[in-house]
Parts: sequence; C-alpha cells; structure tokens
Amino acid sequence: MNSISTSITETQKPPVSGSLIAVIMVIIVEMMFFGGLVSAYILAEAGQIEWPPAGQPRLPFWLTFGNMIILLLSAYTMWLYIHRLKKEIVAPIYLKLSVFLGSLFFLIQGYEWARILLFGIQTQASLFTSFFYTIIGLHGFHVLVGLIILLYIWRKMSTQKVENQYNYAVSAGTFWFFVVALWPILYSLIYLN
Amino acid sequence: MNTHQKHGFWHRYFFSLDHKDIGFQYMLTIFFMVAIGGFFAYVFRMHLAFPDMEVPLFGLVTNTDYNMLITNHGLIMMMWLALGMLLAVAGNYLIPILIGTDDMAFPKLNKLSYWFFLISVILMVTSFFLPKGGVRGGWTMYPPLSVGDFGYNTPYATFSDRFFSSNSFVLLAIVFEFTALLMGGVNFFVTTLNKRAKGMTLMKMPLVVWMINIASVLFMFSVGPLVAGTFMLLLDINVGTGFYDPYRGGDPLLWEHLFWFFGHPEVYVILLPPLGILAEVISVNSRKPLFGYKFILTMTLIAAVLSMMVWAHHQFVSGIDPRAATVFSIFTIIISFPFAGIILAYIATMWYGKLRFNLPMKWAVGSVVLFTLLGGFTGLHLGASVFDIYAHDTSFVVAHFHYTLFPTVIFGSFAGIYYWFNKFSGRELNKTLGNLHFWLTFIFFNGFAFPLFLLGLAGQQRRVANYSQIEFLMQDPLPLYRQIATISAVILILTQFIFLFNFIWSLLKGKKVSTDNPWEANTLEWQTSSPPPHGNFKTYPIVYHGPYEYNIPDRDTDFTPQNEK
Ligand code: HEM
Ligand SMILES: [Cu+2]
Repeated sequence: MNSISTSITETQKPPVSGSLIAVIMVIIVEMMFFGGLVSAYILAEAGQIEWPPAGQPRLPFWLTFGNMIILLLSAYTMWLYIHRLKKEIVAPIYLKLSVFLGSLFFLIQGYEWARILLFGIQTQASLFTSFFYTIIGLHGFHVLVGLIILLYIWRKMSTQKVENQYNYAVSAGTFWFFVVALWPILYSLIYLN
Repeated sequence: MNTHQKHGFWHRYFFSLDHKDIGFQYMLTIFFMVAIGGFFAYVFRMHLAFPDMEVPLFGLVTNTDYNMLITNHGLIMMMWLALGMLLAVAGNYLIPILIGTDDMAFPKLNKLSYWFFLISVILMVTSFFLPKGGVRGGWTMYPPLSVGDFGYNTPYATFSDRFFSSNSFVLLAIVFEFTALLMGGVNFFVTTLNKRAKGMTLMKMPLVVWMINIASVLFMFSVGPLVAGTFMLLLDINVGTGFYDPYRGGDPLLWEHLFWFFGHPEVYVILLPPLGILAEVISVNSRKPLFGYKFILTMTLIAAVLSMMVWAHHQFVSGIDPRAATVFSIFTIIISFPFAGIILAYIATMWYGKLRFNLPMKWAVGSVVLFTLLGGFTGLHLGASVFDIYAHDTSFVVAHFHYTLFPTVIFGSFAGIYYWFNKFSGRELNKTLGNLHFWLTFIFFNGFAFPLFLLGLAGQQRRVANYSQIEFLMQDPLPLYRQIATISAVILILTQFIFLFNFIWSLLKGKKVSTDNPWEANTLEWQTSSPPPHGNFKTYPIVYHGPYEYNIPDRDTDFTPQNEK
C-alpha cells in the first residue's frame, strides 16, 4: 500500500474482532445453505412411501455413530485449546488433537462414502442416494475446509502474541464448532430411519 | 508492495486495494455487462414489434434466439447489473468514506471479491459461445428447461457435453458472483461495525450505509437455499442426479421454492440501497432533516424480515395449495405497508422544503414517483392471488417489475452517480447533457413500460416469441402498443449513450470542481478533497452531528457538516 498506515482502527479496539464477525456471517450463510438442502431432503422423504426406497442400501448406523463421537471429541479438544488460551496458557497439544481427530473423522467418513460408491450405487440410482452423496459430500467438504483452517492456525501460532493467538483460535474454532454441530443433525436425518 | 510511485494503469484497474478503485472496477465491468443486456433487449423488442423483420445488427430472430435473448437479458440485468451495482459498487464507494475511515476492514478480501465477480462475468459471456448457444430457459431457470439439451432424456451425452454447456456455465457464474457478493457483504458489515470514525454512532450513520448493510445481510440470509438449489441443478445436469426429475422421485417445484425464497428477498436487496441513496439526495436537496430516520429504519427491518415469507406469490399458478396462497397473499399485502411508510417519509422530507431541483434530485424524485405510482402499487395487485391468477405470466408482470426495477436500479443509480460523480472524479458532469439524459430516459421509459400493462391486461402472455400467429393479440390497437413500446425502448437505449459520452468525457476533460462540497451536504465524504486521497482523509474526522442536520436555527449556514464542532 502506498501511504503510511493511517487507519484509525489502530487506535480503537473493536469489541468483537472483525474476523469473528466475518466467521459468524459465513456461518449464517452456511446455515441457510444446509437449511435449503435439508428441507429439500425432508420434502423428498415426505413424498415417498418407503424411505430409503426399496432396494437401496441401508447405511452403516453404528460405525457412523462412533465416527460422530470422534468428531464431537475434536470439538471438545478445540474448546479446551481456546479455553486455555483465554487464560494465557498455550497448549498446542489440544489443537493438534483436534486436527488429528478431525482428520480421522474425515478419513473414516470418506472411506464409507467411497465404499458405498464402489458398491455400485451411482448417483443416478435414486433420489435417496443423490441426497446422500450431495449432503454428506458437502459436509465432508466443509470438514476439509475446517481442517485446512485449523492447520493454518497451527502454523501461524508460533509467531503470534498470545492475545492474537486467542483471536485466531476463536474465529477458527467457531467455524469448526459449526461444522461439528452440523453433523448430528445430518446424521439423525439421513442415518436414522 | 511498498511502492511509492504513482498508480499506473494496471495498478489502478487490476491490482489496487483501494475501495474506490475496486468500486470503479466493478462499475466498468457492470457497464460492459449492461451493454450486452441492453443490446439483447433491443433485439428482442424489435422482433416483438416487427416480427419477421431482420433486426439491424442482428438479423432474423428465430424462436430459439428469442428465448436465449430474453433469458440472458433477465439474468444479466438482475444478477450482474442490479445486484452488482447496488451492493458492490455502492457499497465499495460509499461505506468507508461515509463512515469516515480509510478503507474496508479486509482490503484483500475485497480485491478477491472483484476477481470472483470478474470470473463470473467471463463465465457468463463465454456461455453464449458454447456449442448449442446461450441458456434459454428463462431468467428464473426453472427445470427441466434449465437442465438444457442434455437433460434427463439424453443419458448418453458425455460429461464434457454436459459440462461445456451454457447451462452449467451460467449456474457456475451465478455461484461465483454470489461468492463475490458475499465476500463484499462480509466486508461491508465488518467495516461498518468496527471502523467507524470517532463519534459516528450507529444512529449518526447516513441512511445509505444502513441500507446497504441491511441489504447485504438480507442477501446472506436468503442466498443459501438458492446456492444449494443451484448446486443440485448443476449435479442434475452434470452427474445425473434426479433432484428435479419427477421420473426419479424428484420435483421441479423444489427449484421454484428455492429460487423464490431467494428471489423475493433479492428484490428488496435491490430496492434498499437505492432507497438509501434517495434518502441522501432528497434530504440534501430539500434542505431539511430526513423525516423519521428511526422510523425508516424500523420499517426497513420489518420489511426485510417479512420479505422471507412472501416468496410463493410467484407460484400462485404453480399448483400450490390455495390455503397457502391466501397466506402468502396476505403477507405480500402486509409487506407493502412498510414501504409505503418509507415513501411517505421521503415525501414528508420534501414537504415545505427549499427544494433544489438539480440533476440528482430529478432522478430521485422521478424514482419515487414511478416506483410508488406504478411499481409498488401494481405489486400490490399481483400479490392478491385472485388477480394474479389472471395476470400471471402476462406482460402485466413484466410491466410491474420494470416499473419497480427501473426506478430503483436505473434511476437510483443515476441519482447516485450524478450526486457523487464530482466527489470521486474531481470533475463535473455536463448539466445540459445530464438534463437531456434525464428527461429522455423518463419519457421513453414510460413509453416503453406503460403499454406493457395494457397489453398484459389484454391477455398478452410473456415469453412468447412471435405474437403474429395469435389472432386476438393482433387486433387493434395491440400491435400498435407493441410498436410504441419498442420504439420507446430503442430511444431509451440510445439515450444512455448520451450518458456514456457525458461520463467518459467529463471523467477525462470535464470542468474541475471549484469546491469540495458543491451540494452543501453534511456527510463526511463532502468534507474531504475531491477526489479523495488514497486513505480518504488527510486527518481522520471526529463526528459530532447526525447526517441530516439541515436548516438548524442559530447557525450561519443552513448545513452542519457531521465533523464540525
Ligand atoms: C412493494 C411491493 C411489491 C409487491 C407486493 C410485489 C409483488 C409481486 C408479485 C405478486 C409478483 C408475481 C407476479 C407473477 O409472476 O404473477 C411480482 C413479480 C416480480 N416483482 Fe414484484 N412486488 C413488489 C416489489 C418489487 C420490487 C421492489 C421489485 C424489484 C426491485 C420487484 C421485482 C419483481 C420481479 C423481477 C418480478 C417478476 C419475476 C418473474 O416472474 O420473472 N417487485 N411482484
Ligand atoms: Cu416477489
């Protein structure tokens, strides 16, 4: 930039950091986005007599349940991490645990997703599988984005002041909590029938 | 990036992070899109009035051409002109400077937002040249039409046939554009919350800042389902899912719901920023405080919430439950009240004011008059399902939405451009050309759009390529109405060249401004130099007054700059 920084915000500290507001707004959009998908799904389900339709695979209920626990744990470790930072204790182990658990979830879920694909159910097969692939796939994509953000934070941390670390962690964590909180809803809609 | 040399061409138009430059880039890109959209309108209007004639500069219009032209005209004007101009251009130019700060909260995100917008424009324009030509399913993109030539019935088309089709490209373009607008919206909101000048409380912000922010937030609340729908449509086209395919248990009506859940709030996303611009222009030029600042805000918020509960008024004839239709009718009629309130507040602002009928004011008043008398008012009629069942999908609807969109998008933008031009360019627009532009636009807009009401009431369906085979639509005076509409539309389009010339010429060679505050306005942008420096202010303003304190007794001037002690 061409001039010396003349920003007035440097003297004024906003009560809520800009990045947190931004994340919250993104979450609003995402909520409406998944809201659209989920209501489409519910409507489609309501229009069918048997759901999932006959001849369609039953999804692995318990495996996914265990996987959900893993994902919830990763949110818990993330929360611990932020909580420590607030008290100015840097405990990167919790961040690392979150990334690890999140990746585990992603791998297991991705494996399952791909396995069902390999069973020969193509997306063309039915409305049910269309929804399965779309919704689960999109959630997976969000998990991936969340993980990338966590990794980014991880890298950034060592060079930052504790206070900044806290702000970063809160923004990234909020997104991660959102991604995690979404899963039980999707799980109960799609896996519990 | 610490270069201290003067901004070169490439810098200014491609890499600058300054909010004003990004606003300018958006504006030029949008002018380019409008040129295409306007040209399409010219071609299909000519074809409607003079069927079977070769349209100069285009040639014979086939039915397929016609469908492609109206579809892309609608898409360009709604998605790229209206949303782009009123969210991206207005937001970028106005928000930082009106709240007294140097730039957006996230300048790089802002830049990225423009790049996404540019990609969306490129995708959109490329779509015309793909095999099988541009999209033809109507701007509302209802499946199965929007699934295109490789739709549900041709399972053997290859992936690349499907992907390199205009249908896929346009949907992708829309996703990119909305991402751009979301990045912009996040930026506006964070900037407004966190970067206001000292003393600029929320209630001291100019209304236009409020309006753009409310519009952005409304956009965020409503766009999700449409993006989900777009995504599902993309999958339907490209990988063969069946979300909208009844044969596989899907439902084409699903799209209508997802689309209009966004579509109706979208028209308010479009409406609110111009209402904000009008508030500034009208208050300054009436030399009176804006009537009912908080009242207007409350009404706007009510309308924003209600706007998400009226979408099915576009679907009265799509086979929705009549009981639901009644509910949606009632909400639609209720939603007119807040807007009536806002318009009344503007009229009250002008009431007994010392009116200055300069160019921005002309556009502003023209906008209020046309929007109220013919735009919003006919919306009320259409909102009543009993009437809509007759009028739906006729030219009456086309007239309604042109009377709402044109006064807001076009008149509102011009009010803004004529008002702020000298601030951002440091030069003046030519007044004679400006007056000519205004009056010709005003007259020929009515000449174009009003006959459409009459045609619609006479039963003329929209989206019909050639009326000459429909006997009752060829009875006098209906063909004459169509010709009046067409000739007016052509003159209307030509008139815009006056503006274009004036704009470019004044930008390069216009008279330099003699004062930084020619309208004697209060808001902060007028208290800095014209054009404002990079960073907007030499020293940062401290705000003591509300934005509309005109004609306060015991002052030597009839205005009170916000930053004056
Ligand atoms: C103020 C109250 C308004 C009401 C009550 C209203 C009501 C309606 C209704 C009921 C329709 C559906 C007509 C039909 O398809 O049969 C409609 C269509 C439309 N309105 Fe409005 N409207 C209002 C304001 C606006 C505004 C402010 C805009 C834009 C700035 C707008 C843009 C449109 C568009 C683009 C369509 C046509 C969509 C299409 O089918 O292609 N309306 N309006
Ligand atoms: Cu509507």
